[in-house]
This record gives sequence, C-alpha cells and structure tokens, in this order.
Amino acid sequence: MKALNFKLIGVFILLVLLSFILISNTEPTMLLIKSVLKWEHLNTTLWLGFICCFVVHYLSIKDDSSYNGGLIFKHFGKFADSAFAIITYGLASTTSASILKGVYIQQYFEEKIYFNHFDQIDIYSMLVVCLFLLGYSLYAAISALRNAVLLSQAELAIPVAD
Amino acid sequence: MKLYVQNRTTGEKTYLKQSAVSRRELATQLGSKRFQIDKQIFSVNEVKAENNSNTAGAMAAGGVVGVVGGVPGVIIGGLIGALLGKSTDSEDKAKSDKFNRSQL
Repeated sequence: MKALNFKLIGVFILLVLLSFILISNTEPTMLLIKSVLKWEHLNTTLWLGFICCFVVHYLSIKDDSSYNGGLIFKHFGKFADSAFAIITYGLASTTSASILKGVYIQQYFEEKIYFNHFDQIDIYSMLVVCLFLLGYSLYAAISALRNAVLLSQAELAIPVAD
Repeated sequence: MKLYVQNRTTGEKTYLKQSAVSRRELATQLGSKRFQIDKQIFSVNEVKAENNSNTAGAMAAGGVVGVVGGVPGVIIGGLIGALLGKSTDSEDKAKSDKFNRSQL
C-alpha cells in the first residue's frame, strides 16, 4: 500500500479553505489585500525581514568550513553571497509589491490609473510575474532561515585516524 | 540533500554539517574514512543521504501569495509552486540517490 503524503494533503486542504474564504468574503478580503499593499511600512518591513533572514543564515554558516552552498553567487565568499541575497531579494520584493499595488488598485478597484498605455494582457502579465517574484523572494528568505535553523541542529563530523 | 548517520543504540538520525556529492568526496573532505559524531565512531560507508521535501512548502507559498489574484490566483499560484517544488525535489532526490549508490 502506498504511503500518503500528509504534508501535501494538508496544503491541499489549506488551499481549498483559502479559496472558500475568498469566495464567501470577497469584498473584505480584497480590502484587506489593498490595505496591506498600501501600508506605508510595507517596504521597510520587507527589507527588515530579508535582512533578518539572511543575517541569521550568514551567522549559521560563517564559521562552517565545510559549507559549500550558495544563495546567489558563492564565488566572492559567504558574506558577499548573503549581502547579494539581501539586495537582490529585497529589491525584487519591494519593486514587485509596488507594481502589484498599482495593478491591484487599477484592475479591481478602478480608483486610479497607474498604467495608462498598457493592454489588459500586459497588466495581467505584470500581476502574474510580480506575484511570482514576490512569492519566490519570500520563499527564498524563509528557506534560508529554515536551513539556518536545521544546520544549527546538525553536528560536525570529527575525523578519526584510520 | 542532507547527510545523516543512525545512532546504533537508539536508531535516531544525526545530521552532518558536512555536505558532499559522494562518499569518496566526504572521506577526502574529512581526510579519513572514519569519523566521530555523537560519541560514536562511524565509517563513511554508514553515512546516508536523504532528500529535502520542498513541494508542499512551495505549493502553500504559491497559493497564499496567489490570494491577490483571487481564487484563480490561489489555484495558479499553488500549481506553479507545486511544479517548482517538485522539480527541486527531483533534482535533490537524484543527488541523494547518487550519494547512496556511491562507495569508497
């Protein structure tokens, strides 16, 4: 008998519940998303979040001589790699959040025109691409933090003479 | 991919901080075929690799971020996340299988 993947089943249930909440509370959810995207401290929060995640990641690997992984570009060393990660993911997420705010308000609330000479297909493409960028950046930061916590639980193998 | 050894008495897994693509590389990295961890001596041949599971996390992240696009956004976000996570898992599984097949 095949073993069930409970993690995937849990995520599937979560997404179904999320869709159900969205359908039954469309307007309050849209207002909540709008207020999050318009929040004046969103960019600062994102930057601080990325700095915290990648600094913790750097601290977990800085004295580990056996670490040979990399986040963005490991050629210049661990510190530069972590700094590149903060800058890359920080810029990608804050820019995509700003574009998302414009697209969301223009398409769903029609309060203001942010993208005047863009076709509908371009605007929806921007929505998908920015969602992907924002999601990918957040996922990378959370993965770095999770790996830092897991790595700190791992033990260093000490060689013994043959 | 994470490398681990199993405690001989309790059977518990202890993860190694070191990473290597094969047992030979691990032995070269350590400079020895045997090592000490958790007050027990192990041979490099006892080290096993297990792959990380990213599909569920990536699917959840994609679905949650997709909320901005409504229900279609949740479905598309979840699907994209699952596909990306699955592809990373497949790569990781290939790496861990390669390590587990390797011999000194």
